[in-house]
Amino acid sequence: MIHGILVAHGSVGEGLLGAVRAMYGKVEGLDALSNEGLSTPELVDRIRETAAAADDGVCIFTDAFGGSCWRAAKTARIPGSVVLTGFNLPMILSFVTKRDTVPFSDLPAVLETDAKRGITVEVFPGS
Amino acid sequence: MPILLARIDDRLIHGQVTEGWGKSMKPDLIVVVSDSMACSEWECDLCLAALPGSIRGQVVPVAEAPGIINRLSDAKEAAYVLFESPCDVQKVVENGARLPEVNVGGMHSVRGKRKILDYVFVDESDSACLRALRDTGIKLDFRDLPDRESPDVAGQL
Repeated sequence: MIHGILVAHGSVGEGLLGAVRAMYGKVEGLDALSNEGLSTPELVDRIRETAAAADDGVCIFTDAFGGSCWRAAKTARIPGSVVLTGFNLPMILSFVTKRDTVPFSDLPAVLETDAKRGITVEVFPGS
Repeated sequence: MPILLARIDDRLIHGQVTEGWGKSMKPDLIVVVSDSMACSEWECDLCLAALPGSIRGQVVPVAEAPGIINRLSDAKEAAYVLFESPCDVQKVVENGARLPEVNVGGMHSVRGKRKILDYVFVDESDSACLRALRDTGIKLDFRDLPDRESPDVAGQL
């Protein structure tokens, strides 16, 4: 199974994982790591330890481009991994529902499309 | 102009620095003092990729930092200087850098280090460097963000 790791600030990853479980039910092969209190090398170690459980490829999802979580995920440079940044609920739901059917090489583009489709802006001008 | 912020933060450029401190003290330039970043183009690019477009970034090795820091104090640019560790700060101060105050904002958890604050963990060498900085008259400001209290933790070093 393709493994997913959410690497994010504070409780963002754990919170999003909770929302995915609430919508989808039990989820395997998806972990959340927080940067809370951790140095970057320590977070890199934890990402590598978590990724070691994966055998079919790893998608590492980070919450913010340029942040410490993003940098740790890039620094880990795990063979057979892809780092996706700016995750949202649609992206992770897409991952959970499509990872068994979409080939790993196509998965990042599919997830990116689904995540972006989930972002819209609608303005209601004041009177 | 005096350096806006000299800060020890092992995460270097990240949200607390660009957003948290940046909202009140807007820098034109962030100087990152790090031997490991300065010697690796990959690490250097990764570090500076985090900068908003309005802020210029520069990565310098510890040995070159004192001259750059002292020139910054006389320059027009408003600058932050970021250090990975208190020992790097001690080295640049020993080599002539003028830093009246250092913000201790992020020395995050590493196995085997002792916790002083949620965001400050130390080993013997870190403590010794922080004590040495304090003893040379540098004010140590323990705060991750500008709107937080600065606790007096000198006794725990």
